[in-house]
Amino acid sequence: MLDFTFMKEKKKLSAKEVAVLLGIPLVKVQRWVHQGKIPCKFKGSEYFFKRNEMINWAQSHNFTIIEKEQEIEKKKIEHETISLSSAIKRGGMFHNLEGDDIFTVLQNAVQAIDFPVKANKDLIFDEIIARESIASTGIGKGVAIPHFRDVRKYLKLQYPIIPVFFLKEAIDFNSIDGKPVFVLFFIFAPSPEMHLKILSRLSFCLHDEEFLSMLKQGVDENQLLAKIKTIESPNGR
Amino acid sequence: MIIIGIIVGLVSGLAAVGLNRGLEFFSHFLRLFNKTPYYIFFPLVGIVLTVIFLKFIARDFGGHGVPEVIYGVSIMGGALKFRSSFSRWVGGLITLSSGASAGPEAPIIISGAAIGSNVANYFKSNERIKIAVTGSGAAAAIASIFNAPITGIIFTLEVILGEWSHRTMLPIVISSVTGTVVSRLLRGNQIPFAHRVFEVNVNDIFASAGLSVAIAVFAFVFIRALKWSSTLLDKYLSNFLAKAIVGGALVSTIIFFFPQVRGEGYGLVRQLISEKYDAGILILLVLVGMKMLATSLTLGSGGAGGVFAPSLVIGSLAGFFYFQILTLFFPAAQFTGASLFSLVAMAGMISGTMQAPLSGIFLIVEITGGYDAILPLLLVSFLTAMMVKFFEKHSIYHYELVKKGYLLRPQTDARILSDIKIEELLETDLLKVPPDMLLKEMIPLIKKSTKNYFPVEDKETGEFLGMVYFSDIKEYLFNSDLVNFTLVSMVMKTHRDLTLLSIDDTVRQIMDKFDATHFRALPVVKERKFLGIISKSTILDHYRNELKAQTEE
Repeated sequence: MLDFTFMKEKKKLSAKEVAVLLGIPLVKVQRWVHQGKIPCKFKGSEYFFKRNEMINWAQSHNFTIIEKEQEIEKKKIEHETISLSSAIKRGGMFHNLEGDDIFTVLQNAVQAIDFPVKANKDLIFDEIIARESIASTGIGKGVAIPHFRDVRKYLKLQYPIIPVFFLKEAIDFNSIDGKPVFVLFFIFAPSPEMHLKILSRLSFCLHDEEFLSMLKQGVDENQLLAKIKTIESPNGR
Repeated sequence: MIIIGIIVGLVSGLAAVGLNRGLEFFSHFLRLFNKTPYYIFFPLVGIVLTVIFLKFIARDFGGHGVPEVIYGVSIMGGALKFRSSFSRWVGGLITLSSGASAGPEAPIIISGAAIGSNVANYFKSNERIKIAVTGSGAAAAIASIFNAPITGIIFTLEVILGEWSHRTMLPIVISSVTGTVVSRLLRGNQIPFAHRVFEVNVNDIFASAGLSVAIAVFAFVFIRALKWSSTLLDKYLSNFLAKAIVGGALVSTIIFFFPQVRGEGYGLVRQLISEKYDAGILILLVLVGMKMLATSLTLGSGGAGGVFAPSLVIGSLAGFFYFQILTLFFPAAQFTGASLFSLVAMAGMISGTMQAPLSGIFLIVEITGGYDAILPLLLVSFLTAMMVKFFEKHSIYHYELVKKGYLLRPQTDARILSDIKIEELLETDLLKVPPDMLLKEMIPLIKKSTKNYFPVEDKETGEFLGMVYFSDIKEYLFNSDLVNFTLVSMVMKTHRDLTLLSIDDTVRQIMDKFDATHFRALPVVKERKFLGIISKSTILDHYRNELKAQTEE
């Protein structure tokens, strides 16, 4: 029932690891050892904890470990996979998208996307359009970010994908700055949290003048991705 | 307090003597019909009558009643219905005089406790005193039945109250003494025992170790029998009358074949402990089984009575049985006698069945009038209690309460938390937002609100869709790009991410739900409508308030 990917290999845990496991501060673990409340093994003046014993103890004392475990795992995965460049690579870059209005353009785009998992494009398109009608996804400077909330419902994605579409002709998107949109960044992320993180990275990139002009020129994929990588890496993310 | 104690002691004592006299009278009276064929059916009739009386006239329940006292003390601050002071008394009279197998103690205990409770009410006592006085009713009951004032006090503290506080002692002691005096004056003592001197030797001590094992087994079986009979009967017969008839019929049959297990059985106990009983090993074992069965059925089918006396009977039988086995295997060894083993076994049964080792010890001590048997008593009592506890976590009294989640000792955390009601914790002064609002538009609301949580409701149906946690969106609020095109629906946590709380949850359940998630506040939703939030940190404040409001003296 319990799956401890974290610390799974270790039979012995340190006090620090037990603190993480139980979701309590290290000093509390130390005090409990001192008061004899928590089972541990002494080796001279040092002590350690047997993993199995800790799990039994935690369960019989109604500590919930699993949620915290899953969160730590989740955070690890998220941290590793929020890379714009990888997401764009997965999504693919497309040029000369046809369409005179928002509806057609979005429809053609969705049709062209090559999803890595099973996808019902019609339903996905419905969601995209619905979101677009609530408020425009044109964030300005000629860029739009079509998306919708419950991606999990339609796509069982492990990692985010960002299909990018350069329009044949820029169209009016009701953007916030009124400028016509020439590029669409579709964002499909496994969770809303990841979506927002991606979004903030993307908007950060869009502040870069060089990046923006590269987009306008319609430079090729590798160069764009390289540029994104340089924007992303100096921040040490 | 002294006066209350005296009053309670008097009334309880009288109730005790009254019931016993009543029983004597009726049994005598009914015995006149000894020769008629109707005699067989008396237990059946008794149980049925009891059930009818309790259901329609007294509107109370059967069963033994001690769990109710414990419930009254632990949850209701010592409140017991006035009705209970006579309902079980009459019920017990009917059940027991008809010959059904049960004990008269529980009816008297609950009568005494109910009297105590209502007397405390009359004097407008606070919760603490009321609990103590209720307990003193129970103490007086035991004290007067057995002419054992110490046992009465110990039993109340060990079983009924579960706590030893010198503040609550006063009314209990007074009441116990008064009850004993009443009983002595009116000669209501049930197990008069010529004070005999026992010379306990080393063999007896060793034998006692073995005895505890035997008694532990019997106690375990008895507890199981009691549990099963009520669940079995409930399972197949939902009608209370049918239960009474079937159960009563079975009891009648058993008593017909084994008249020794009839009624409370004090006569049998007297015979056994004065060694005036002649029976083979097998018969004794069978009688033990039959007494267990008869008692379980009597109580399971709705008869009114307790398990105290039957435990004593089973104990004395078992002790006698054990002694016979002992002399069989060790014919050369010197043992003090069957009487000692019967008595010690009685204490063992009380310890094992009710998890009341001290009560068991003191009962025997007071019955025999001396500490001669103290060594085997101590040994057997505590060993048996320990052994039984290993297999059965709760005593027969606590089992019923634990099943319903009612066993909460006063002043404990669980009790305090259970007092708090959800409505007290609910926070409703939150600003709501629609799902299609942009974060930018939310900013003035965030400025205005006093809380960091924003429930999201559907504009048309008002249905709860999710919650926006300020801590989640904080980083995006300062990103001018994001606030312009991020919808509330994107940042909210939906019911898939959250654990929803229900207005019917207990505080305990809520705490468990909080433990399982990392949220500091969770929404309470009823029929898809948002009612409010409960924040983990305010629960501490409420708990502190409860502590402050605790009555003290």
